[in-house]
Amino acid sequence: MNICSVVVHAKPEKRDLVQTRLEEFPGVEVHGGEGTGKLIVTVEDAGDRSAADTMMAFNSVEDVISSILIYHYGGDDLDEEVIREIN
Amino acid sequence: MKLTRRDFVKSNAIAAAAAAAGVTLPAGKTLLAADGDAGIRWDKAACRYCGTGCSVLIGEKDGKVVASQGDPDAPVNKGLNCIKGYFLPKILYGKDRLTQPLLRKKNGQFDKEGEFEPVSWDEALDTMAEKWKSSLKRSMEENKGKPVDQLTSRVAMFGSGQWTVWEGYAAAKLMKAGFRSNNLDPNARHCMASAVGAFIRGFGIDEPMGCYDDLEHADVFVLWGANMAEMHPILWSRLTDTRLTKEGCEVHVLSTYEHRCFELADNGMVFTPQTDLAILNYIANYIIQNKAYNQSFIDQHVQFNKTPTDIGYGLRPEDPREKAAKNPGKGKLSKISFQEYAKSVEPYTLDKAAELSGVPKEKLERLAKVYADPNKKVTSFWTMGFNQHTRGVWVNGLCYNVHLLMGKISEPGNSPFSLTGQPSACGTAREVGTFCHRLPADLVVAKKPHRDIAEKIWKLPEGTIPGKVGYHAVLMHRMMKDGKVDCYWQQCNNNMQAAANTNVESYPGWRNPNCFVTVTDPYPTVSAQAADLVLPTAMWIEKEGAYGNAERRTQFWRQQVSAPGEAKSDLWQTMEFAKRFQMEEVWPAELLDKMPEYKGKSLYEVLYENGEVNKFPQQQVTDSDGNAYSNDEMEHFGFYVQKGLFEEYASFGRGHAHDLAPFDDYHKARGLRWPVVDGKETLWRFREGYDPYVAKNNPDGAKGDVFFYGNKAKNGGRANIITAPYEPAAEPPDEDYPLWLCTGRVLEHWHSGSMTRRVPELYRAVPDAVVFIHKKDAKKHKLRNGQMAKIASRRGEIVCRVETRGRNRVPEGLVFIPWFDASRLVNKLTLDQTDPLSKETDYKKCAVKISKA
Repeated sequence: MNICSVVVHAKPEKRDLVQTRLEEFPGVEVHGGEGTGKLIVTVEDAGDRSAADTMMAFNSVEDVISSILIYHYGGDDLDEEVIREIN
Repeated sequence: MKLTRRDFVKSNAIAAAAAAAGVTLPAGKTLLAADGDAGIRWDKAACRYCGTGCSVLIGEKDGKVVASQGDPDAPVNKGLNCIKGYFLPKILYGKDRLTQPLLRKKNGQFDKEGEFEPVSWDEALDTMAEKWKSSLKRSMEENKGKPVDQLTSRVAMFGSGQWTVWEGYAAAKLMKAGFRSNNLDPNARHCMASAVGAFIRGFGIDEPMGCYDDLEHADVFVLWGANMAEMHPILWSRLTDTRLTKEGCEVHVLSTYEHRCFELADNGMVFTPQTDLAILNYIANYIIQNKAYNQSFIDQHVQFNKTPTDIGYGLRPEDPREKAAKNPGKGKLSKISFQEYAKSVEPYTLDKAAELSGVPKEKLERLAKVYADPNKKVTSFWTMGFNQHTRGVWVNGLCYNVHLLMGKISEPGNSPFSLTGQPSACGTAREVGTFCHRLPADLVVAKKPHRDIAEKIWKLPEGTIPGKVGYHAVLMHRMMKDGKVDCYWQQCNNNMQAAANTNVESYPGWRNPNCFVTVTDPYPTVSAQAADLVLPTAMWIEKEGAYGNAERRTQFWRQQVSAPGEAKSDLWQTMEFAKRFQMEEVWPAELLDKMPEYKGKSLYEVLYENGEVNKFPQQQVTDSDGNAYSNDEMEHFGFYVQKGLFEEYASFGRGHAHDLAPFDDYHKARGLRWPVVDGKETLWRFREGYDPYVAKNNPDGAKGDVFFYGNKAKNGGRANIITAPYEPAAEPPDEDYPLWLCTGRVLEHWHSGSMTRRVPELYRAVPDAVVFIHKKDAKKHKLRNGQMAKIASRRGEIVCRVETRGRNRVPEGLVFIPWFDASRLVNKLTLDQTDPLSKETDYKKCAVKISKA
């Protein structure tokens, strides 16, 4: 499994537009960066589409100036392992 | 609610991204990250790819690399990472990784026409040594009675700007001292030799005066033939940040076609190939006509010069273009006055520059104005557009001319900055001096006092190192074809794919029946397939390493994992090979008589057990948290090989403005920019207050003043402005071949693709090289988008899919084809033309035609 985080640069006035375009990709979530033009984005494998394919597609999204990878986990699946319960 | 390890990893990922971007997120998003990474060992490593020199953190668990992230403590990338960084761990695990030596054999014997068979390391290196011994013997016979500056050699090695520092250094010793052959050149010859030539001619010392901090200090950025958005994404991200946050910041982009950098450009300019020479002379002329130049800077710090013109194109001497040249290969400078310089650029009016370049006048004038504005800090970046140029040294120099006229140099934000394409083009190729004309720390083989220094450090008798410049990259292939080189060893690169004019020069040279070719590589590349012996190697973090990036930053990493199968590092191979030679087999008796204590010894003992390289005993490598790491070479040779090689190498530059810190410091630091004096790195060279060598060389100089100490002996410490005219390219389009061909890279693949094409996601993203062509040109040649087309030059042809849209938008009259694709070798088309001064190939300009396939 792959979990990545990416910083996506957009011109500030295009930020919302870019967020919408990115969120159309499966496995993509935008977590913030309001007002800065820098979007904090996570990308995960979604069905047949690997996180890497999605990240590379960011480069051809209109109004994206750059997309920069920050973190990548590429080890075993982690869903089963519960580390804490919050009630 | 149950929280899984997945939530935990994701939280970490978000926290790292927010920190790197300087964005504050709601606490809930990153809450879990504070728990720490249970079970993953994190350690830093310099990235394996480009010359930016990002630091990445490698997450290792149970002997496997499971995670990576941009190193938040790294000044270069500040936690950022580019898409290729995501695949860094994956490049180690391609399915066709080589794990044992392969030799071409027939009936159990080596045979050049045989098939590859797996062999033991002993059989591999013994077979190779036998070939090398007979060539060395022949060279010794040919050299009988010749003075040291006339010696030639039949053995050659082709190294790399991807070699670690000690791999390059060990190889340089083996070739120049051991085998007494200056036929050692790196693939960096193809990538930044022109930059080196211009540094030496302009400043008397190699490598940029500025550093990446200029990315935050500049008001204006000018890109000259550099597609940073794709080739240096992290630097591009820093530049973007400055452009979007600093008021008045502008980005000017010049290229022969539109690429992704144009999206951010305030002033994008597409010019006719080769006319960058005219544009730069126009800017100089504009500065002079408007009296905008910095008179006091010029008076104190600049000398004006001219260089011989009509110098040819570095082709074979019998080529009509070489015969027609008045001054082929000439570059000796002669001093001129400011007035003479001004007169030399006077013809380059706005009208003339616009006419030659095809760039609209208002755009050219806007560019000239930012250089001429004393209140704007300008950083110019360039890469292959300037360097891979038959006038590469000239065009690098013309850019320095503009900066020097204005005094915009050697201070934060004012920076002419040559970027590199390989992770250690600077650290290994240039600083170690693995070129056919160089020795470590800017010393050169042609000067006896320089050879004396090297011989003393290496404990060799006087007259060991040959004084004649060896064969450079392009010449090596010609000499293989012509039967002058019999043995060739390529390490850590893919020159059969990279070198120009494959059909006419490279392939016939490699397959010459008299030539024995060894290729050291982790993968069966185009080069490996064309070789006679293939040696499997350890990659990147499978060994302890050091790289030097484009801002003079030296970075180390520890060995993280082990190489697969029997693969051994380049360093291991070089040193093991040396064990197979007795001194009597490599040096003539009269040389050995000067140091009789070397008689009966092996080359390995003389070069690597010389009391210096083997000075540091075996030890356990640990980090500051006490984690332990392997070091396979130390284990094998019985001493700390990397440390011994590094410390001996560093003694060349310490005290001579190339100071490196002690070995152990680099394992702790996120890299240090040389010269490192009293534990302090140097950010901007040649200016008092930043560079300790200024006061040392110019004790009476004013505070904060500039002194170009590299030229102290030559002209009293002045930088050279060197005038040079526009001259046409070697092979412009004509009726038969009506289009310019430009080659280059794409974001997803690094260079020849030998690593990135083995990563499924990258392969899927950009599987094949396409030909980018303007839709009007496509129509003219009856081609549609997506169709297959045949592209032919005078030397060969290839077939590619037509792309009239996509990321690169080429103008009419030019096509672009990337060179990563092993199944479509664009270098079958290119011409082996070089800058006659730097010997670097021009891959950006030759003539082709196109038709339906």
